[in-house]
Amino acid sequence: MILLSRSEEIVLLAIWKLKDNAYGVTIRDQVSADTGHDWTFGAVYKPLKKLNYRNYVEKIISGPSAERGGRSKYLYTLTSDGEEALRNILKIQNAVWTKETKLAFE
Amino acid sequence: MKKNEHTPPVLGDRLLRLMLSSEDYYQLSGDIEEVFRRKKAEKGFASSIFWYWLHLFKSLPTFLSITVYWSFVMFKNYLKIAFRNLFKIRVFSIINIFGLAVGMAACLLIIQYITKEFSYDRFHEHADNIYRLRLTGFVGDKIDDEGADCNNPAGKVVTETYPEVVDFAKMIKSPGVFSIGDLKYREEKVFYASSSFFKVFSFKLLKGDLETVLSEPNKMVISETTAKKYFRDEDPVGKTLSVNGRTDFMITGVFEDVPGNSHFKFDILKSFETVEARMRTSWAFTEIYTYLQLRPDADPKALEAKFPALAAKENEEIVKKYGFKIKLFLQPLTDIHLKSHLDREIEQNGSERFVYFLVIISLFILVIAWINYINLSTARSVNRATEVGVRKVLGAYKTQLINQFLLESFLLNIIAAAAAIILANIFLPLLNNYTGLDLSFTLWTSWKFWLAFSVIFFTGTLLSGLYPSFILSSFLPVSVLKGKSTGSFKQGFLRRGLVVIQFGISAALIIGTFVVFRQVDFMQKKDLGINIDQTLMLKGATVITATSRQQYFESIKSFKNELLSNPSIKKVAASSFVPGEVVYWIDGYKKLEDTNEKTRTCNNMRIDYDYIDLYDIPILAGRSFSEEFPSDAQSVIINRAAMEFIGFENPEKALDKTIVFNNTQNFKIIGVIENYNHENLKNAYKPVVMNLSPALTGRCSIKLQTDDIQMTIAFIKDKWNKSFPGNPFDYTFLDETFNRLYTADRQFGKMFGIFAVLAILIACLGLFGLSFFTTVQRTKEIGIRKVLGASDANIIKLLIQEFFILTVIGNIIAWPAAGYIMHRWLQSFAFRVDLGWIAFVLAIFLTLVISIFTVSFQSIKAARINPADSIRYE
Repeated sequence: MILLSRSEEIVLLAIWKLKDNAYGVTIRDQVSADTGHDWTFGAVYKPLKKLNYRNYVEKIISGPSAERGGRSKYLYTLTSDGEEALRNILKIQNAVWTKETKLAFE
Repeated sequence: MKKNEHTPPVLGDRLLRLMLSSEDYYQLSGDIEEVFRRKKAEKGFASSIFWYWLHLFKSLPTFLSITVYWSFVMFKNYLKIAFRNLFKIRVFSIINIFGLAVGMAACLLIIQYITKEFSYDRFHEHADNIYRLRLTGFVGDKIDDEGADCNNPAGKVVTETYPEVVDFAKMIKSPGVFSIGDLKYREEKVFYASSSFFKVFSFKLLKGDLETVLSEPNKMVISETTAKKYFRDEDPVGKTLSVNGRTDFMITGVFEDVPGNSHFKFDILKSFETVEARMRTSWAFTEIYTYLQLRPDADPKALEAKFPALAAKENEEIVKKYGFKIKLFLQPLTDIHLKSHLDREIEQNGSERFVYFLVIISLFILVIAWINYINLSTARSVNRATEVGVRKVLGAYKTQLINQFLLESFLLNIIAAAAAIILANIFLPLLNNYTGLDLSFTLWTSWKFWLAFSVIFFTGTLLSGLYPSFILSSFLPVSVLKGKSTGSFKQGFLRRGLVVIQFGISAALIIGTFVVFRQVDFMQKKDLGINIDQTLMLKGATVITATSRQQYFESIKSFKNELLSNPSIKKVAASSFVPGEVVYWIDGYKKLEDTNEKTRTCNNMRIDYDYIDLYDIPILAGRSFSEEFPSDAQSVIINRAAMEFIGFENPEKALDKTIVFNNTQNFKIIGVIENYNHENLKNAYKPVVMNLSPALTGRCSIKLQTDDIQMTIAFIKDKWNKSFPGNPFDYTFLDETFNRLYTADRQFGKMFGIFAVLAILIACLGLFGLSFFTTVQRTKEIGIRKVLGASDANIIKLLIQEFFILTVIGNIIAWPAAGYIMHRWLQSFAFRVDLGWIAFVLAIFLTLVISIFTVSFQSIKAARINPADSIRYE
């Protein structure tokens, strides 16, 4: 399995956190809150498209809304493949960031 | 979406739409608008605008990279699908590719030919500034003579008078026998050339200094090949060759062989200084080819306008003496090969019309191939309707679909292009053989060629890809999946229209080919008015070993008698020219009593006592030259055309009258002969005046009557060498010479034929695919008809009749156009066939047979299907 990149991981987790309300704006807000600095739209969409291509997330088109000037929202949800990928990255995270390493860099 | 102050700036919106794919744009613009409103509500208008532009610019590079990256990814995906599609329906793909490849290959070959034709004479450094100076003779206001040549003095005078003329070069033909030691050959491509020849023209001198090679008399330069011929590997510079057994010329240089795309070719150049003193100084006599090199900033038209003033003084005398006046003209060097068809051109030139004609034909063929593609693709579209429907349901955008189909078209065209290049290379030698042209592929290195080819390629891809793409991508998923889509009526109309065009073009090409072949055949077979069977022609003896005139004429007589002693040889005659050669001597004649009339320009020939008899030329009045009448030395024989031209009412009236030659000499008419075709039948009968001369320096005609030609020729050769030692034995048969006159026209016909075949082939391919398709579509209909009682024959007739009608319509449209064009072409021949009706009948017959034949395969198969099977088919 190809490893998730850092940004992909962050975006994917954000989508999981947002449950049914994950679309462009909310995802961006979430990751910006998580990481502590403002993400540009490009920075969010780039990993998002990759995730979509690898079928880690699914796109659903919801109804149009006025605040988006009449355009519909594209809602993203995690797929089972995506969950698998997250589990994988967590395993690697734990394997790489051992207690000693964490202590050294805290 | 209403624009109001809550929406983000339109400019930014447009920028986004440019940079992103449609789907990305849709998502992103929605997001941005949402945040924009939020910001505006929270922090106010100014702040939101600031935020908007800040984020836009920050994300710009990322957006671009996203679009670029994903385009590549989608491209890979489309490519995979495109390939898969091509392989799936192999039959259609192959038909398409083959048709396109053939069309493109034809284009390639034609482009090669056209490039060569247009490249004539352009290799000279000063090519754009070189003009041919030529002379037209006027009697009153009518053009009397319009030749490619000029008088001797004008070149120098013009160059010295006008500062805008930098330099000039002049040449005159001078074939002869060249020899060294035992080697001797008759060289035809020989000229006397003036000293600045190599400065004006950029023929490369391999040895020798271009300033001095032709500056002194009795010097000459030879070509590489000629040098090898006489001197093998030795350096020829400094050595001498003997010309006509009389004069020695020293070789001062060697030049690179003249390339094929020069309007005049030569093997040897002798220095003009050698004969300058012997040239006539009057401005009235045209015999020299003169070329001027102008300054780059000079205006040729302005210069030409100054000529009448320059020639005025000379003209006064000329008008008084000869009754005509002259006018000098300039011709751009680069126009000569394709556009100049004057009298006495150095070599026969090509034809601009022919070249344009070929371009049009190749375009036609290409169009037919593209039409095929469009037809086949749209016909197949029904099959792909399901695929399109599903794709749309899965969320594909219309542009995506169009891109995908364009990519398929591109792929197909690329394969076809590669195949075309291979085909063209394979067929080039065959083409050269069949038509006698000499093409070779020099284009690969030229960027202009690749540019042109790419243009064709991309136009083809777009044209043939766009229309089907639009049709395919416009299918509505619902109707497709329900199975309603069977192609709109409008599509069927277009498809039929295209078939009409294809067969119309094919019919036109058939008509053209037929007419051309008939005309060429006519010209080759027409009764020339003289007998040229088994007539041998010897090139004359220019090397004369006789020491006196008496001895010379004796030797000729004895040669003739020795030949005639052989029973296989019937007649022998001498003349300056033989039928089939252009007579390039012209002089002015008029009736003695017409002192105030201008002279009429006629062709002038020398013949001996036996010429008229040998060729069986009908005598209308009087007699041929005869030894019984010593006064015949001051007599002439004229042909009917000359008789009418000079102004006699009938042959009897012309007999015994006197005419004046160039206002200087009087000649009595002792005979009037019937016109005969001396030249190519493209030209009308020319007026000819014949003088007596038994000399054998021009041509010797020998009439044979034998089965063993080889032995007779050996006999003649033996006698020739005895009587005229030192002269090469150079013979041809007259019917061959005449045949060669029509080489260009034959080539034309053959090319036409080839293209007709190609066009029909491609049209058939298309028809085959199309008929396959429509019969499959109508399977259900056929099944039902059979159930209702239709017989096999009825079904076949039903299927075929649509194509039958289309072909007929195509023919009807083609007839007037083709008829008009061929009529105009025929008009350019003085002797021609009638347009006739056979060509048209043949065209419609052939196209019908071929189209029905092609369609019948599928129709017969379809008609035989068991209705039970076909109605079940869905």
